[in-house]
Amino acid sequence: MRRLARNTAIATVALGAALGLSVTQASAGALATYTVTPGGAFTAVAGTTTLAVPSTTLTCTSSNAAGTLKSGSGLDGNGIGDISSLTFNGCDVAGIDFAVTTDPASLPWKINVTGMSSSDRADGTITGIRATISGFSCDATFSGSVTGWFENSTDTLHVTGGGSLAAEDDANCLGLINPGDHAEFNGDYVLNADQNISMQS
Amino acid sequence: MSADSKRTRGGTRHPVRIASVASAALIAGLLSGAGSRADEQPPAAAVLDYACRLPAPAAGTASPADTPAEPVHAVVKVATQLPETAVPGRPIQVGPVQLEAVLPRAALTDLLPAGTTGIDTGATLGVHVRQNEQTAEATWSQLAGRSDLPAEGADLSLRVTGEVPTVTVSSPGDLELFGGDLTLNIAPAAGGTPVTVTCAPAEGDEPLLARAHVPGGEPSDGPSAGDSPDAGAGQGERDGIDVAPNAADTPTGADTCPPDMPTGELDLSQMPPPLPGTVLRDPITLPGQPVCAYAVGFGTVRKLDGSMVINDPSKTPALMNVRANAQTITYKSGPYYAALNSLAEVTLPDAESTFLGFGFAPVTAKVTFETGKLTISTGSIGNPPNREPFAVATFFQSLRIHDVKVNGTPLDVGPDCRTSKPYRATLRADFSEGGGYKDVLHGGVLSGVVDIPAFTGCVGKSGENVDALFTASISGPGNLVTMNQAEVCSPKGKDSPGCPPVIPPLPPIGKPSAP
Repeated sequence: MRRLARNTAIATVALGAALGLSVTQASAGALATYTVTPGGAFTAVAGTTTLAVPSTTLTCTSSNAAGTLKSGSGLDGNGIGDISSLTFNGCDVAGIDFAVTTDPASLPWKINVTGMSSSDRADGTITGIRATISGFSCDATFSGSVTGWFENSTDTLHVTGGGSLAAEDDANCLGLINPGDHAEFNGDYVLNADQNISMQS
Repeated sequence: MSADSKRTRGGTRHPVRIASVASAALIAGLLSGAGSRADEQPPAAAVLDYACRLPAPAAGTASPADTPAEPVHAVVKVATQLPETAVPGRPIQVGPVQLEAVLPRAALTDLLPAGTTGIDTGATLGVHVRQNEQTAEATWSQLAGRSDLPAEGADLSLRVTGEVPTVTVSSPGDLELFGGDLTLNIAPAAGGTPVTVTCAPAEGDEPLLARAHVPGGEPSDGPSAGDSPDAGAGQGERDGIDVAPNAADTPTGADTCPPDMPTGELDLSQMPPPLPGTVLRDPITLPGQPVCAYAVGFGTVRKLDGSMVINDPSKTPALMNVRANAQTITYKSGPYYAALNSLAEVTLPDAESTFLGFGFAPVTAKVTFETGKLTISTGSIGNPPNREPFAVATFFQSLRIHDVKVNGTPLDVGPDCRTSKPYRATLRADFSEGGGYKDVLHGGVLSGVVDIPAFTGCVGKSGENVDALFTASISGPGNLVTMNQAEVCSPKGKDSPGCPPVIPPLPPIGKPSAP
């Protein structure tokens, strides 16, 4: 998905250059506005979610989220929504149970839309993440951002890894998670109600 | 529960739970807590009838015989002490125990050198512990004493005393102790060859030794996990009856892990495979992290129908040194698969075993284990909700037998009486309900069956080859090894969880888990 977004961005820049314009993707994003219908509070449920670090993968059997989407049109993509709570259930690494908890001080996390790959797909990021994995002889806090996209037709927020999410300096988890380890967070959160995001440029 | 509450060392040390020597078995619960000897009852004395089998007198003694003598009647008096009442989840202090066995003088004096005036006796009494529908086996093996051998009299009285294990129950209900098999090792006080007398309760006898009332509501005949103040300590998630040595007798273990982690190659051959469709990433080699743990258990020799304690927790067990997470294996696509592979080493102490060789002759021997590096793999397979965890430890091991005595008489086997080749031991965890295994960090029972190779290098006193004696009586398939691994000590973890390492109780003697 990130590859597709990147290719789209490259194509956009190439087209702009061909037309003698000097508009960058970032500035194009800044110019775009979005419409969210109906917006408002939401809850979302994900099945299996994963957090992959270089040496192994933590999986959780389910995850629950709650947050808010702004409502209306002419909305800035940056901070178009937020996640006010996120919980993870049944998390383990290779059969060893761990807990995953969000840092309350980091909430809400921001949902940002950076563009539309199609009318059904709003690409974006989640920023301000801070969460801790803890268990026997394991304490590792991750912070940063992830990329993802919202699928209008299924009301699903697909979290697709990427971003800057990485283990903080004091990460200590049986040698499995080390400071600076990048983490790929993946999960598909289905919202409890219809939501639609569209872009106006 | 905090890691501190699981420790058996320091000021709040829990008694290590053990049913000592081969015949001991923990049937169910494994709970611990501070012991108490308050409100004791007056000593209870039970007078029991036993049938004892004495070895045949040696040639040249007063009554030589070619076959073992007929059983003789013995009166066994057992005096012990239990608290008047006890509390579920708290160790019940038993004893001290005074045991007196009265046997026909003539039967014994035939077995002892002429002129013997004093006898040193060591006794081991099997004890059936019963409460509600739960039972457990205890072994009172630390009984010893010296008795006079008077010049006259029809009977001979052998007196022994000693401390015995505590008993912990998880439910209310009367606790009863019944006498089981009794073994007397009798030796002239002035020195000489000991003889072994094996006794069993007379038929029809109800050999009740002592009873304690455990109030607290309706008796429970089933598991009720977590209802003890100390549930979760060690193997405290299980309920029932636990037999443990006195806290004062429990050995102290290491303070932390050895400074250097083991090195060597991992053996991944015994890992369960991923599900069809799983594509794995290349294994990732990591520096690993030092952890350590005690593992104690039983090795059962199928042909001899007997068990020996491996890494006896009542003595000074060896600590297993582990390079945790030396390698990880993770799925790339398809059904989930993840494994953490660790490398471990342990130098086990000699095991002391007592078997009835060929069904009747008591054979004692020391067994030296030569154990190769262990690969411990833990992981899980498949996507939720059908994900299955696994834990497997595999290693090669050889046995060397020495200090053999048959019926108390040393049997020279030479210094190099050993299995002709190493055999593989693969122990797997039982994650099923009641299996007692949580994960590799918290430990639990692992078991497997080993095939003991033929023996070689066994040389008798006159240089004769006695390999066949051991090959015939020991070698072969179907020998169950059951080990109880304690929670690991992780000195590099935040607050050093699990440290100092805990010495676990012996596991139940049971069937191996499915491979």
